[in-house]
Amino acid sequence: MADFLTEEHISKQLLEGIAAYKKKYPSNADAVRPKYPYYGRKIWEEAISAVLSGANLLLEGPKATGKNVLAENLAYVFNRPSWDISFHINIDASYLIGTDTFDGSKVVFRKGPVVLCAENGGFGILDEINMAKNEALVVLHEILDYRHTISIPGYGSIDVNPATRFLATMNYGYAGTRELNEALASRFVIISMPQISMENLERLLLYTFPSLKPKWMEQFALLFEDLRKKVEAAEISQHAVDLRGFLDAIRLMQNGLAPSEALEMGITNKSFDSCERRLIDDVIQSRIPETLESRSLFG
Amino acid sequence: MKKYLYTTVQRRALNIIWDAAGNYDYAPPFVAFNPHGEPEYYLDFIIGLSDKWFDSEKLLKFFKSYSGTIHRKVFDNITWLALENSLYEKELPRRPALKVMREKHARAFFEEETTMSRQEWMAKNNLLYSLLSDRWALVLGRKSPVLSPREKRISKKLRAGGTLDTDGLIATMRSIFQEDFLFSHFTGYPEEFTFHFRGVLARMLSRFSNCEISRTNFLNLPSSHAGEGSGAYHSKGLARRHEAADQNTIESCFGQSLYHQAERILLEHNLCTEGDRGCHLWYARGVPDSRSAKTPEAKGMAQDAEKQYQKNLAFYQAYRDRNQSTIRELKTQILNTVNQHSEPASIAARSGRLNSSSVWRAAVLHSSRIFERCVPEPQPNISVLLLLDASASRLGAQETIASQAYMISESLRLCRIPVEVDAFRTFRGFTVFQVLKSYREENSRGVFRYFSAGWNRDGLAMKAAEIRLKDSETSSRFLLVLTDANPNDSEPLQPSSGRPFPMDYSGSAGIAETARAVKNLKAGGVRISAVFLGEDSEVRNAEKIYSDGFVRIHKTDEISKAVGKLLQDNIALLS
Repeated sequence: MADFLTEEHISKQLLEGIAAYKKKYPSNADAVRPKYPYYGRKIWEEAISAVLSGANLLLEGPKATGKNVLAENLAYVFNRPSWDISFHINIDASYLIGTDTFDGSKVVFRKGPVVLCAENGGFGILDEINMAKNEALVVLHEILDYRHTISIPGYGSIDVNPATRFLATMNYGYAGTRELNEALASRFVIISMPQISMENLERLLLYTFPSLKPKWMEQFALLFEDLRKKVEAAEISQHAVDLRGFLDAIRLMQNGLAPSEALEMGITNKSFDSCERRLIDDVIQSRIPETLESRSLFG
Repeated sequence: MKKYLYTTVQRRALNIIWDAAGNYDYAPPFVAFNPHGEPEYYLDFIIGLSDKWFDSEKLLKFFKSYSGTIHRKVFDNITWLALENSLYEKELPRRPALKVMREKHARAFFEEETTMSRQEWMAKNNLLYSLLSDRWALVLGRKSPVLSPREKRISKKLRAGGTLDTDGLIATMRSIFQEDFLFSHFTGYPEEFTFHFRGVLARMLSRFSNCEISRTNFLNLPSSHAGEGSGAYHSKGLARRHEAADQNTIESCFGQSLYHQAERILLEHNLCTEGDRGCHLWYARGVPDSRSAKTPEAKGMAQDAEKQYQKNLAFYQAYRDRNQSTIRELKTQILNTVNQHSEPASIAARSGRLNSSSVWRAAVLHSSRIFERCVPEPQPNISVLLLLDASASRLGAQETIASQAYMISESLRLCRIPVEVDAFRTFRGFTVFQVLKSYREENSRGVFRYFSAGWNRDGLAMKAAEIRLKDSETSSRFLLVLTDANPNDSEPLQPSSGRPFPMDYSGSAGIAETARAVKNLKAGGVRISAVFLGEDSEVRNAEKIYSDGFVRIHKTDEISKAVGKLLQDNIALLS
């Protein structure tokens, strides 16, 4: 990954900072290698700076901007184990911190992901943090600010391992999201994630599908761009701009499925509105011919 | 650009054009449909590409330069044939799929040929048809049809290359028109784009060739409802009639009162006070029925109401796909809001928060269900009263309001939130509440019975709405008003404390009176929000009446966001 960061032209000072951090906080467990690399020097530098300065990071941005990819990449670059915690409306403090449970003879405390992450000096990825009710998030305040402790009623408090960082992601546009309360937002430094550029999308496609022919790689990147423009014009919903679905569709093509069918599964069918599906189909047809066979794409 | 006037089919055609242009602000002067009324994919794509590769303004000027002549239709189509070839060559290197799109279009052209009757063949313009046949045969690598020397010459000239710029293309077309049609009078004829792709005219257009690019002005259509105000039921200036006679008329027009006479009089006694002294209230569920109308006036109103009902239904159906999509979106948004703020209930569980009073069960019964777990409350305990301003000032927007109200009502109903939809108007001194859909009804179809007539004494309507709010059995009640925030009644404001003389119920006096009623309702614990549908000049009125409790919308597409936001704000305040 160090080579990758060098290729991304990350400043030498930050690369040295990463090395110093890894030396200071050696990890026994190997960090999980992310499936996709994050492309974008500016965001990389901002995120690395934040982690090195001990700050918690809030990655804010619309769909398909690589928030989770960046979070996973950071955990890997700093060689820390990561805990991925998906937030939802009914999440509560006990889900995050832990709950009492009965082991047959006595009541015991079962640790939640936040406690496990804090004890092990991990990177806690708080996914879609603004899906949760603000009341449920109050428990995070003392973990995220200067106190770095977790108070567990009846069990005392736990000091947060100094290597621990929390990386939250959020998207204001998603259905079911809400404004993050000011007290919590103030405990993060916030990076506004930009849309993936055409150049970086092509790099991502090349990394993921090295055998994809350049001609079609460009068309897939342009297709994604066309769909994004349609979303920005409010002609279709965000369902179609799904980078995961987009990559999944190309993977299906790699396995022999016809491009039109793969794109239907990966993109078109993400919308549940027949009118919208038609508009998405029209865009796809203008980039990827209906008659195209999957074997023509790779080679 | 106004996008909300489009039907589903028009919207799709425009999306194809915008997609090709890469510009969603482009207002295409041409749109192509096939004989079945569906967008002609490839030709619409070419129209979009013309904006991408050429100077649209110059092209438009060129198209205008011969409009109004008998050649216009032929000139339009052969110009597009030239554009097609040039644009294809320009775009193909960046879009390999274009080749497949073009060939598919060419095949469809010849497939259509086999299904045409003799009459349809005869109705065709021979020159244009020959040129099209030659072009699409060439695309498919087929043998060209037999062409006259003139047709051959034109066809060759129309194979405009990809290197042409706008001026070059226009010069080519001018030379064709001059040399092959002996036309040189490009002086800008009185220009009118008059084709609408609807109904009979659309079918007539489609006879001309199997698929055709034609001019349209539907993008710039004024509201189709403007100027329908002639049937307004205004009574200002008429002398007050005898109350009993007025009541009979109201009953004929709107049906029996929901409340017994004694109850109704008591309500009037309590609500028609101060500035509203002498006014009357009428709550009705009835639909105006011309057959049982007792007076010519009631009969006329009932007939108009029935016509409006049909118009409302037709309007909703015309945009059904988009409307259904709005309902789904709004439903999701409301459910999310409700879920976020619903109070969770605790149930016994095997893990969770220890319930100390149940610990004995572990020792005595060996049960591990000594914990509590939170589960969200399944049913929101809220209801919504949607109040629609149904005064004559809304005549130009009746179909839109009915559609909007239906979408709100259906979304709430699908979320299992009890909703009532009432239209209010003031007529002969009676402020009439017409219950279009009650809390208990299982569908919202009654909302299409909305029609506008009379005046709007908003202040009294706000006071009177409290009675309907109480008809709901839920603990939290919202009043959502669709309004133009422009109260206006023929009956003056009566003298009361601080107002020694009667005043017109309009302008600032009407607004102040309504604002006071809203304030009193709020003080009584009712949550009020408004969706404002008025003009720029009336925004201040909405601010005065509802302070920050209103959202302004300009088009129906915005309704889900607006109502979702208002509900979200109100539910958040409750929790």
